[in-house]
Amino acid sequence: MDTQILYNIFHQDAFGLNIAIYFYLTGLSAGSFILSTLAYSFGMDQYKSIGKVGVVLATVLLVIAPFFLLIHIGMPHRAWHLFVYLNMASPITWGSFLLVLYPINCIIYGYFMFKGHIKLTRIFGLIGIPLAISVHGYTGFILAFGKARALWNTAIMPILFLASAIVSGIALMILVCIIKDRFFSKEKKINQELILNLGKLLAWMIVFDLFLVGSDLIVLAISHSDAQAAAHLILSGKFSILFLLVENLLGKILPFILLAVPGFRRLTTVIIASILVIFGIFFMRYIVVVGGEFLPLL
Amino acid sequence: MSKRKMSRRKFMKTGLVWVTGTAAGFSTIQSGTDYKKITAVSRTSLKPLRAIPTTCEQCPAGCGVIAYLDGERLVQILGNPNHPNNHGSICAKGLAGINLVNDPERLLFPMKRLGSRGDGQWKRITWDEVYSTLEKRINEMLQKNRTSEFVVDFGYEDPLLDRFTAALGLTHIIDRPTLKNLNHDTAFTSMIGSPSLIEDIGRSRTILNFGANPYANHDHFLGLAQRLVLAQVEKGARLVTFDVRMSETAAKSDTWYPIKAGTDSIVALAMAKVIVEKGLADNSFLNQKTNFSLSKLKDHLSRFTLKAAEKESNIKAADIEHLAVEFATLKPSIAIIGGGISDQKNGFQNVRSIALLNWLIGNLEKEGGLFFPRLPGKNQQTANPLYKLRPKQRKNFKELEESSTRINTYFAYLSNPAYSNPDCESTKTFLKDEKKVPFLVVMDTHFTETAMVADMVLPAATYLEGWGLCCAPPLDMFPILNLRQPVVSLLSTAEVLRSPAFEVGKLLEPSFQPKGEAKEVGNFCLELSRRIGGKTVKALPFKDTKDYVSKVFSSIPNLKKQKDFNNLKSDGFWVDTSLKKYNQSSTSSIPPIQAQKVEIYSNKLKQNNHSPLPEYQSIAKHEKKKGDEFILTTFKSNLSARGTANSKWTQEILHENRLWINKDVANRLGIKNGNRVRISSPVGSLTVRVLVTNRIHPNSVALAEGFGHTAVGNIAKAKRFKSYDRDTNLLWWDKKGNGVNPNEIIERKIDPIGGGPCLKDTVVRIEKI
Amino acid sequence: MLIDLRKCIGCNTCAVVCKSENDVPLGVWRSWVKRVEKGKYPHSKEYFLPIVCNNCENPICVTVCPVNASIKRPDGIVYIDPHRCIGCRYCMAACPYGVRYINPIKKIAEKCYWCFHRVDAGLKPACVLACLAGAIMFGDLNNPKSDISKALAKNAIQVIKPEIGTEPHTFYIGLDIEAVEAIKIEEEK
Ligand SMILES: Nc1nc2c(c(=O)[nH]1)N[C@H]1C(S)=C(S)[C@@H](COP(=O)(O)OP(=O)(O)OC[C@H]3O[C@@H](n4cnc5c(=O)[nH]c(N)nc54)[C@H](O)[C@@H]3O)O[C@H]1N2
Ligand SMILES: Nc1nc2c(c(=O)[nH]1)N[C@H]1C(S)=C(S)[C@@H](COP(=O)(O)OP(=O)(O)OC[C@H]3O[C@@H](n4cnc5c(=O)[nH]c(N)nc54)[C@H](O)[C@@H]3O)O[C@H]1N2
Ligand code: SF4
Ligand code: SF4
Ligand code: SF4
Ligand code: SF4
Ligand code: SF4
Ligand SMILES: [Mo]
Repeated sequence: MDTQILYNIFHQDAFGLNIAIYFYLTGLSAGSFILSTLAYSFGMDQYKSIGKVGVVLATVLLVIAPFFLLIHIGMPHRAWHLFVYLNMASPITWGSFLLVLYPINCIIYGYFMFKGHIKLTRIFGLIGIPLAISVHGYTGFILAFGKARALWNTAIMPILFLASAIVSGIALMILVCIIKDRFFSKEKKINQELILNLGKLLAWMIVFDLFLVGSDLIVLAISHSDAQAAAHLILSGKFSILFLLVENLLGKILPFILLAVPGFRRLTTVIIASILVIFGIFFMRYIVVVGGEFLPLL
Repeated sequence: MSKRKMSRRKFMKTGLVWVTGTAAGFSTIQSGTDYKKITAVSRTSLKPLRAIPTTCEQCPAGCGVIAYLDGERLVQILGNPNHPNNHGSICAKGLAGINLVNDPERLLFPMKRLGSRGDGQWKRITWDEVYSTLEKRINEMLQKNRTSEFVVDFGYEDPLLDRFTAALGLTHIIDRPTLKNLNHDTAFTSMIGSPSLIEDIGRSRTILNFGANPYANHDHFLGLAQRLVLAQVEKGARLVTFDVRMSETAAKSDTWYPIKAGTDSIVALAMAKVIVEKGLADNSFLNQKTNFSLSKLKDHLSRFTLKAAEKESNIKAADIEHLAVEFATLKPSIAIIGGGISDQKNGFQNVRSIALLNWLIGNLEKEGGLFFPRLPGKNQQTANPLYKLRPKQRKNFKELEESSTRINTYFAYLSNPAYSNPDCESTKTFLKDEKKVPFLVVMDTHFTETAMVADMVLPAATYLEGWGLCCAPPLDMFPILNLRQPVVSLLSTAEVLRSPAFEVGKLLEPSFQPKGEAKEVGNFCLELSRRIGGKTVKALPFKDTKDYVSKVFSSIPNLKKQKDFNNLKSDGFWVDTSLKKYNQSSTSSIPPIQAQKVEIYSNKLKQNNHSPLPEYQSIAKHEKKKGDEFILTTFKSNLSARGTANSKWTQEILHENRLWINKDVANRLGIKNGNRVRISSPVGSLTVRVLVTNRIHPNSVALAEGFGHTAVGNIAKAKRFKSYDRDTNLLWWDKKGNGVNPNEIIERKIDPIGGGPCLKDTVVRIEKI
Repeated sequence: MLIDLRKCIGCNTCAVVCKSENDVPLGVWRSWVKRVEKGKYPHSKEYFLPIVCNNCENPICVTVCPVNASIKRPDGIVYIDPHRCIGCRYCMAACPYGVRYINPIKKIAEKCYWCFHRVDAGLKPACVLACLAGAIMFGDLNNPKSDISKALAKNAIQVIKPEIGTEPHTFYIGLDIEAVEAIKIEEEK
């Protein structure tokens, strides 16, 4: 049928870049935290050296992240309303508490870690894991509550967000460890084995992430018309280059190849792969947030 | 033609000239107690707002509105729930009156040109200087007996301006609104002695619409649209529209027939033939009430076969036949007429042909048909000497420009010929030429395109700032008198600026601003006449516009019996219930044709070597049209009217006029939606974005008028700017621009019989760029 | 609220009256009239679709508002407390109808709230009063004798996106599904 819109209004973007950055930073933070607990809470000693880096990163990122929220909201001086007028049904309300509890926990956890108090570190690490999962998972819920936005409104969204958080967290950790070892450690020597190990972990997480993205896409593509429109948008529409090329090919598949093919496994390739992943996941956040509200609802 | 020729604006505005038929007591409308309450509340304080009933003058429909004020500030205009025409509704243009009054870019002081014409340098002057300049010029003309060199061009009639010009004995009047409808008005006058009729559309069952768009614009817009909606949806009336494009009305019609431009009358005449031949015509009406018998009519119509009509108009013969039968059998029926058919080279005969359809079914003073307009106040002409005006000569711009008439002073009030005239560029050149127009004065609310080339620009009051009495179209056949009263006061700056209240006011309410030195044109004329003295003062024996209005009020006997002036002020209008609504059983009391008959055959036309009968004349230049040429039609959007050019709320919705072009044609020419094309006619060319659409005849292209302003204000020009109104900073369509003015490429032609302009039939070429 | 699209003539009065009644700044709208063209010449058609907030039975905007600034009143009107809203835009992201906006001057969320300041004063919403075609009807659905209840009972009615589960309270007569679903990628501002 020949159909054309003769008049419609412009709709403001609800979220946009600031929120994408916020989601990105919380994701990095959660990923870093979870990694840091591998050694201290789960006794994977090979990861011991990244514990401290992880907790510092997690804390710093989570202190920065809310500033993007403050820039985003129209009435930043009313932010205290969030703690007074509670609506327990709203993911943002969950988030307000998580954004307070999680950094506090990070600081305590880090404090004991640096003090060398293994037991307490372990306990706060364990407390921190659900917090870290929540602090990023809730952002997935924020989007999933967007009922009419097909790209957001899926139960897979919180998990997808977590997976990509861990992916980006590992990548960031790899880079930070290298920088730390190379420039700030006493020996100025990079712990190659750790990095390669992390690289392997990263590769597997990428596979998991790709699996989730793939599942989401397949369902989108055969679901109701709005979902199909959304699938169309990221597969062949305006966001297709970002999604296919930048997020997935450069940001996931290429790093995976670099990390997984034994012949390539080298320090430089791991570095390149990590950088690619960090960019790739940023675009993932961008595509989900901005692409998700790209199609007008009416 | 009848001697009592009168413009339709006339009956609505100064009106009251007309003697209506004998009156019988017949009263259904009550006044006073059971009136619906008039309230609006402040959104912030929740207190009721101050309400002042008045009349909307954004278009000729004359709706009763109520202006609501928060303190001194006009915040809302809503329909007057008691007004018999609009019943509490209002339209977008009426609402935009708020923008007009509160416009930060309004012209507030009299200005004099510095430098040469059109330089755009101005100096503020006093009203005193204005008066003395004009007084000198007019006295000079009076002394030399050459007042005919004073040209008055107005876009809306004002009774005091009328009296003023009549007292000077002027001959040059450019009555803009009626010029546009001239073909329509002269055609009707030639048949029934009245330039227009009222459509009782709310009670019609079959409605044929030829080139009107009552769902977006019409002289009786809001009230008529309201009645048509009810007829369609609640009473199941059938609406059929002939239009070259899908107008809003066509979109809501049961069927839209995309007709080849300029061919409506052959369709109407073919329908007439069907009706006559099938014996469906109202014989007794034709015999008793018209001057042409059925048998002779049959002969005349025999040429207009269905086949010929189909060939000319692209409307299928079977459809025409079937519509004719429906029209003549599923009564009450009505055929309505719009600018689409009257503003053409063959407009006069088009109107007569479609009117004929109505006469064939006896559609005069019949329920669901056409009625003579009723005017309030019985025997006004004799009873009210205030209305005796000198006859005046109307000239259109073309004649003025082409004749060797000498002009001394050109006064344009509420009129913007340098923008609204067809071929407006040449109008501008003419007005700018100091040899042809030695002194140009513009009185307007804004610096219009015309004001830009003027010598003196005077700030005019808006319709919401002054007094007036006018007749509204009597849509339910009851005469209605509307009162216009100031809802916002005109404050003189000096007075206000000095007052501490203003400083405080400014702090509390940024839009609280003095209205400067704007004046009602009536008061301007009164003061000028006092300075000129002599017969002009005698003709204008009023203190001010309010005095005038109250004197007119007291001169209407019926009105004075029913209301005192304060009642009128609190109601905002008056319905004269002493007159008969309509008379179903007989047509004997039809006012203008009491003695006469409907002249289907016109001797006067015959004498002037025109066809005396309704006729189809094909438009020669359309016949010669080549493949890449199109007929350009212009039309009015439902959002633009005379006072809305700089209105933020209407401009926001519609600020660009794209050129409509048929999709198949566009595909053939390789033009895509949104492409820019060059559209050229013998008088000029424009570049414009196209709207590729399935809603227009392949022969036509269409452009809305009212866009592409180069003056008036920043909003009209789609430019963001800072002012006390923060909205002006939020203007978001500045990148898209404000469209084009079709008048730059419309040829200045007139229908030789009717004398009206041809705004819908210019042939244009289109090239992709 | 019931919008009879058979009567709507696309005049935009409802959109403009809302601007003046509620001081809606340029660039944002509480109500607007979408226009959609369908079909091939000469069998084409234009549809007018006035859109306002649905004041939903299950308003997701209320569910997600973190500070309870979006509130559903007992009479069903969903409104925004201008003193409480923090402008987080979550309600905008969540509303399936895109009827909310951030006021560019006040920086808080706004939308059509059926002119409750007028309704509370016993008046009709501004657009209901102004609509020249009488296409918009407003009243009490709980009262089976109200005009609107009768009209809802007598006519085939539709709502926009019923599948979403918000249970819209803005009903339409004669809604064209293609006019609803036609969406255009926004042009750059
Ligand atoms: N919104 C709004 N309303 C107004 C006004 C306004 O400026 N704005 N102005 C008022 C005034 S001053 C006037 S004079 C009236 C004018 O009222 P009209 O003259 O009736 O209105 P137009 O839009 O000029 O033309 C009506 C229709 O004619 C169609 N048309 C063009 N050519 C042909 C043709 O060959 N055949 C047929 N059948 N149709 C054709 C056009 O597509 C258009 O839809 O409106 C009044 N009301
Ligand atoms: N191509 C094309 N051209 C057309 C037409 C067409 O259909 N096609 N239509 C023609 C028709 S029908 C007409 S009537 C003419 C109209 O032509 P004009 O009479 O020139 O009408 P506008 O430019 O609409 O308005 C005249 C001026 O009135 C001012 N004004 C508005 N409100 C008020 C007020 O309350 N008080 C005062 N003092 N001033 C006010 C405005 O600022 C504006 O500058 O255009 C004609 N031109
Ligand atoms: S129809 Fe004309 S008179 Fe009535 S409100 Fe609209 S602009 Fe004013
Ligand atoms: S339409 Fe949107 S804003 Fe309105 S109540 Fe429903 S969910 Fe809320
Ligand atoms: S923008 Fe205001 S109303 Fe909307 S969710 Fe945020 S706080 Fe609530
Ligand atoms: S009900 Fe009031 S707020 Fe809602 S669209 Fe109508 S005028 Fe605007
Ligand atoms: S005011 Fe009424 S007729 Fe006009 S667009 Fe709105 S709903 Fe439709
Ligand atoms: Mo006109």
